[in-house]
Amino acid sequence: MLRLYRINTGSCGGCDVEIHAAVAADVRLTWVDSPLYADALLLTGPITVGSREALLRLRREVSAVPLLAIGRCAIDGHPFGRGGVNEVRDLVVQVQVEGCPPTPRDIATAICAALQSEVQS
Amino acid sequence: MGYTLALGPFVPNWRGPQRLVLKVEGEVITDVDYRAGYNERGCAERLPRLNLDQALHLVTRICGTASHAHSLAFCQALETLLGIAVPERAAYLRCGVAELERVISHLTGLTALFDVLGLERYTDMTRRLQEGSLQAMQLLAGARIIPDMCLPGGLRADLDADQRSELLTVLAKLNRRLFRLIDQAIDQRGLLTRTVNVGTLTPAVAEQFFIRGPLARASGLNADLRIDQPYAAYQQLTVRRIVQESGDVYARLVVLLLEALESVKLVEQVLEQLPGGDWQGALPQRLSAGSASAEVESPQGLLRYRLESDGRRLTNVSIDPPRPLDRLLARTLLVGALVDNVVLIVCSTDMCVACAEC
Repeated sequence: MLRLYRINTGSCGGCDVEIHAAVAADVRLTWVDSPLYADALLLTGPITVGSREALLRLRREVSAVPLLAIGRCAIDGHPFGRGGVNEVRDLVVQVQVEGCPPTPRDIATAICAALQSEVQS
Repeated sequence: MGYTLALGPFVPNWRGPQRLVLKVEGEVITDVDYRAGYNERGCAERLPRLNLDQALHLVTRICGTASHAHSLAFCQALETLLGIAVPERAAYLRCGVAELERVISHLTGLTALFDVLGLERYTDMTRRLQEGSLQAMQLLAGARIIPDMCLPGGLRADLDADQRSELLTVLAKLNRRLFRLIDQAIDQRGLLTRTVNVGTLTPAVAEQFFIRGPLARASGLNADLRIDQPYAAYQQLTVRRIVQESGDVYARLVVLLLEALESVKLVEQVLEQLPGGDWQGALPQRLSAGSASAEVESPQGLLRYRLESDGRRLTNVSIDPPRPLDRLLARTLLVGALVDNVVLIVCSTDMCVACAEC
């Protein structure tokens, strides 16, 4: 079982619905209540000014866990004009999943592929 | 001895990134500190700087589960400003997408509620129903969620006869399964014990706080814009008002369940009565000077857009979303509640932070 923790940084909720659909449809995926016990962190939303500090603090605490940017907002801020991981200098993401929102299948495939390559490395 | 307890997005089923810091004495909440603002994206300020195409793209993405409601309100305001008429077929299809969006949104809230209650069987049922409604949205609007359907004066895409008949089959299945869920869940003893007289919001408080939408209808207020001030094709459709008097978590759950079923029936009604004719919308080449506003009944309640234009571009856009779970409302609902019931009460309000902090 791959344990997932979701970080919403100002998302519209669309990617979050599709992530929930992906977890419900794929038996390999499950939720966990704490980022400390997660196998992967899923980032949604354009990283608003209000949520940036909280995200960076959380990332410092769990720097070894792979971080996946889910949806275009998390990558480049999409329609909101700014934000996303591209704008945060110290934030490295292992995988970027494109789409507004990405399909549940794309999300599940990306999570499994990221964790597989993590194990191999 | 008292202690503080923080609740936030790390709680499973928490909708949005807001935080609650609770002061607890024994098992009872004595005070609530509500911390929000994590979702603020400055959309209303950004909208006047965009051209109409970009603006429509942005409003459609303010909230994932009320995406069509935002784009519909924006387009209706533009149509009022420019005096554009909407063909009947487009008006019907707009209602269809809006109602299917309501089904998806309500089922999202219900899945969270049943999960918090630990009623795994119902959680699985609502999750499957939600997946079914997402697939229905794919058939109707070409996208599972965030349907880019609305354009001023009409729609971007039509529904052909094959899609219509396939959709009717999917909807009949949804209708049957949702009815079965309601029939089984509504008087289940475990559910009643946990939800009746919990987190009560009285009609007087709901009215005073100007709450609208399902949360208000669960507290005995019968405001529903689709019936009170029909827009799009709601005048021609038979919309049933769902109202519960008790104002507790149970009433809110029942309202979400029954409204989801009514909305499925409304989409069926739309498809059965769907008139032929023109449907296509287009982005206007130029704007008229003036101001206009439009209101719609979004899945979470009253959503209003106000536009001002100088004749060349939009100069001001204001968005009045449904009332969010702010500090005052959180205090009213939670002070005096048992600590075990807090997540349940918050989930039952089914309030959308993405709409509130746009």
